[in-house]
Amino acid sequence: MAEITTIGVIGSGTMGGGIVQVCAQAGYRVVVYDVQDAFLQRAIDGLRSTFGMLVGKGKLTAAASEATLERIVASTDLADLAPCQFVIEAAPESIELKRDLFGKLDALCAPATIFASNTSSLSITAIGAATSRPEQVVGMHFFNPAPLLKLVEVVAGQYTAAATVEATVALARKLGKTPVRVKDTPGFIVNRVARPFYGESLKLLGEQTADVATLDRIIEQEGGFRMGPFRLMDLIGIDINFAVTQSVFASYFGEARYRPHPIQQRMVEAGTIGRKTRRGFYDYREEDK
Amino acid sequence: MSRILVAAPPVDLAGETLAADLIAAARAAGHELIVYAPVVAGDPNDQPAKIGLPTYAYLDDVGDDRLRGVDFALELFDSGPRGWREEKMGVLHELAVLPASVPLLSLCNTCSATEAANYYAHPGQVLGFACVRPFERIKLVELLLPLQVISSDYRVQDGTVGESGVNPNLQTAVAFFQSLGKETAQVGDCVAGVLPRIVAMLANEGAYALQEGVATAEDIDTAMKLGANYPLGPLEWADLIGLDVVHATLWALQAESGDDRYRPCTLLTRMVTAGLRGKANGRGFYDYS
Repeated sequence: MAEITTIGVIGSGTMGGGIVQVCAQAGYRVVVYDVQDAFLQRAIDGLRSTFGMLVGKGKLTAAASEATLERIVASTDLADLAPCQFVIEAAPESIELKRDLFGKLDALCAPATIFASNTSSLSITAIGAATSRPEQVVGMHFFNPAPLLKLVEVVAGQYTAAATVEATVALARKLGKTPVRVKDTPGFIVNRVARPFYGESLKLLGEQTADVATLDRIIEQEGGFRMGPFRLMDLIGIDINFAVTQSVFASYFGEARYRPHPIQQRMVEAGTIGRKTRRGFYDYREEDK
Repeated sequence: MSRILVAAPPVDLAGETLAADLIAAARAAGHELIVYAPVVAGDPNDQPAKIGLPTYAYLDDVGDDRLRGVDFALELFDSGPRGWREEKMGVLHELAVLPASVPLLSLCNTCSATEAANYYAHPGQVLGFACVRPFERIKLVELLLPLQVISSDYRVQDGTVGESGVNPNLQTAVAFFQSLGKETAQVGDCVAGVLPRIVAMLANEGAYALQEGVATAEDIDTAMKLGANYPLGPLEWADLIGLDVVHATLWALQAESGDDRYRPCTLLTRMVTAGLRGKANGRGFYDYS
């Protein structure tokens, strides 16, 4: 396996931008691709302001900030990813889009290049099948915000080679992350094992066992969870949480443990999906006054 | 300080169980405890009690005068070598020798308060409670009123009971848990309250993931702690609560509701069949020997 010196990142949104930062700060050269110059410019500006803030706080020297930014090249031409030994894709969650991108990369990059997807919900196996090298296609699921959260789920698809998984685990460690190895299954670990935290809380609410504030208080004070499920759903967005639940439920062909709750659907229908609409399980409109 | 009759499974008195936690906390708070631990002849799991108190194998040995003088009873059966249900029913039946005026706090991690009250000669004196262990970590205990003592609108969150006002046993329970440094929250009656039910579901989901080879136990726990900010991984938490208790919680939820979402993972069932209780006897999802 060739030594990794240059990492390609596809997508410069929240996750892509965070992954670019993590890779560049770990000393790698980064080629970041997106479909529009404006998206790339916004991501680079974002990094510049993040580093400016870190320099201001004394957590980064001005010289290190400049050197890190100089390691990043932005491009709207996918062919510029050709020299990368490792590519991490963080494009929107569409299987058609990802299969198209990976098919093109397959023709552009050297045979040894590893392709990783940051998908949280799509099958690594399905993405790998769009290339001639499914044994070199792997999941590399970072958590938002990528520069802060330590976890990376390294996902092995049906035909991913053990060497690919190990190279990805080693890279995650070099990026300062804590990797866990996961088999390609719906929701991987976190998005699957966390389902009952929300689903069972919604069921308890539906049964009038207690109100939202009491349920959160119990789960925080008795359980030691930093945020109760309703406060957390309001923060994440009830629509996003509902979409993940529906996706896992459908992927397991209607398994009862993942059954979505009508309360969540009503909240989405009402357009009160949490903090971003100032109203969800809690009302945040008073905070605005 | 109160004089409390504690009824607990002998097998739980060697430590690393909720019964042992509660007895230690009540002793430290200065309560006078009379510990009734009905011996199961020939129980292979039986270990010497390590609670630093004498235990009574037969209720008759306690003496009528001392039984009449207890302020309340604390019944802690949520597990047992012959199946918790049979033993809980048996011990609640025996406790009928207590005066009809004595409140009984029943641990409801594996049944509803309504079911516990149904087994007791004075159902109006029963109050359920539920919590996870380790007890020292939690700041709050859940209180559950049985259906037998609540008003006909089935809404019990306000703590009032029909026209008679607040249930006096609630005050006994609140004061007792306050003396152990815990807040309380009253919730509607259900098997295992709120948090023990949610944690049992998280542990079950983790066990399914382990059984399906999605990841190792360590990686499942690491992922949930780092990726979802959980205070404990679901599998290490199950080992602390007791696999027999987690399994009994799920079993009781499924039995009461008939809902498939509560069906225990067969790996968990098999571990309990093999006598693996978790930290309490040295082996669960992890090895503590």
